[in-house]
Amino acid sequence: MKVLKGFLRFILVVVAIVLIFAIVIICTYVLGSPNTDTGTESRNIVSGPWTEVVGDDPKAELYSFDFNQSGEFKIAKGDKQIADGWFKIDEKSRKIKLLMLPSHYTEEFAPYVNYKVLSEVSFSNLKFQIKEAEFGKDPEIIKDKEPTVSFLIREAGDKEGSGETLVMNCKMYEYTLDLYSSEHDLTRNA
Amino acid sequence: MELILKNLRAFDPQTGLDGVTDIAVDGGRIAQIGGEMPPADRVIDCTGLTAFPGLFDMHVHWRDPGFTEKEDIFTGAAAAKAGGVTGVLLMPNTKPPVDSAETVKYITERGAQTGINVYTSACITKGMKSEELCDYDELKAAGVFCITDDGRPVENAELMRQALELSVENGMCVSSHCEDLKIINGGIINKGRVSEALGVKGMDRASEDYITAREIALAASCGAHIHICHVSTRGSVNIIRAAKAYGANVTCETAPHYFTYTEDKLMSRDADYRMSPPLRTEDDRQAIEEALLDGTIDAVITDHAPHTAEQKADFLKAPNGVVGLETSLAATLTHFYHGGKCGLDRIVRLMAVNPRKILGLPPVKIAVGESAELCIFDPNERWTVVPEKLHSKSKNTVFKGETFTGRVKYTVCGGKIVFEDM
Repeated sequence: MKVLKGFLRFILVVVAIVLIFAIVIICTYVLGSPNTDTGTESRNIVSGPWTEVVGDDPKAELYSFDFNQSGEFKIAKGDKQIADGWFKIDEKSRKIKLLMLPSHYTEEFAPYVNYKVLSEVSFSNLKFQIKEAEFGKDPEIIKDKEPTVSFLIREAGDKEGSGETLVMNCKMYEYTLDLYSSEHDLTRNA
Repeated sequence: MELILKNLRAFDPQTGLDGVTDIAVDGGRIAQIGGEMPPADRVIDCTGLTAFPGLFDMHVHWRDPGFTEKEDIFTGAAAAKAGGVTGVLLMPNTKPPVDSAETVKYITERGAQTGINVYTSACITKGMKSEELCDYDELKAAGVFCITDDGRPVENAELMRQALELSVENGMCVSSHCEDLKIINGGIINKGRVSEALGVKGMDRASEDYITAREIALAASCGAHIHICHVSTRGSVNIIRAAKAYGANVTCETAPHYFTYTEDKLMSRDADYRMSPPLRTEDDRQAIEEALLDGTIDAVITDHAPHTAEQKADFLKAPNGVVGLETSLAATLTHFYHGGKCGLDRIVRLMAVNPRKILGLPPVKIAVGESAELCIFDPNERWTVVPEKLHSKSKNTVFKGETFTGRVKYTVCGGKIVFEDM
């Protein structure tokens, strides 16, 4: 009887731990999800398809990042999607926090995910082509030149300097700036 | 004779014709009206049907070149024919935009194969970027007679003034999509009660009224004609009415959805009710109706703007625009004629006579010797709009499920039957 009681207690403790872990994951994902109604200004900046630029090898499996106005992202390597979910931008630290459900990333991407829910992408060198300012005017973004950015994804545990860091230099080839948000399409309004 | 249309009510206020008669067509022209009819290759009994001069829609988007997943010139033409439309003016927001003779040639060559009269407008500014005027001499030589950056306004007012000034010399019609982008500021439906209820950004009516007033002032400053596209607010109607009263050379148009529906349709969060300018309030709808009846608004157009089902799937992200070529006459007949608000005379003027007059095109009349362009319809047939049955490649109609009275049965263009309701 005593053994049975001990066994049941052990089972209950395990179930409680699993339950707490599941609740933490669900709360992190649900409460951390971005507002999907309207895009924020920083979302406007990163929104669109960013494609890695590496040499001329046509067979190279390039990374591509797609962030949209509703706060959703997709990461692909070559034709294969390796992660998708929601994102939030921390402009001060230039970091993009990625929120994913465990089934929404592949094993290949798993090393870059902390706590099986969160990952972070740092972005640096976000550059828009700027037209030289005329006298007395502010410089202007050249509307149809692609911006460039470097994305860095750190392997979980990299705080100790042990993990790998992926660095991807990307361009947004489909970029044209227009006042109708991120849908760069002349048929957007008619 | 090639074709005889028997027992047809022919109605044309331009010639004063209104009566049940027979029409003989030969060599692309109307050979005889009434009297003893000679033998013909085909005789159609049109008892109970009415004929208007072929309709002209001066504001359509056929997406070709560049966006043919939405529509192309041939599917667009099929939709026009099914709506009794024998002439269209295409908008230039294609890919590439129509800002060169080469793109004009591509469109006109394909348009010539459709069996109806297809004209294209061209951009006011290169690439519709509001930065530099197009080469109008080149465009005019290619056959362009109307310029517009439809889909957006020319943001730079001085560039717009220059385009209007040049139009006085080159005789081109300048038409304007009147919406200030900065006032719209990312809005997707009319700003007001419904946008607040849905928690989405609204498009303030001032965005339309402000640019309407600007265009009229700019045109007046250089003695040019300005055509205001798709009027949707009471404010714009009042501005245009006052400008006309003062002798300004301004014309304007509206579309059936603006006199039929209000922003309440958006409560369904269905992107098929999203267009630009958006559906407005009941007060605006009434103003549009009054303006159509008192002559302030000159033309009914469709702003036929196809988008695929995938593109329209998400209420918040969908592009603006609805198709309308196949429902325009039915909606107008149902609302105005069967609604007892006006006779057929006004409808013919709004949909066939005035658009050609505004653009400087030769009139199409039901008279002996004239080109045989006819819209033949049953004014009393009731039918329900089923999107899947539309001829357009895209099915984004605002009138889905709506029952209308009045249906196009035959469309004749260049003496040929180009549409027949089977």
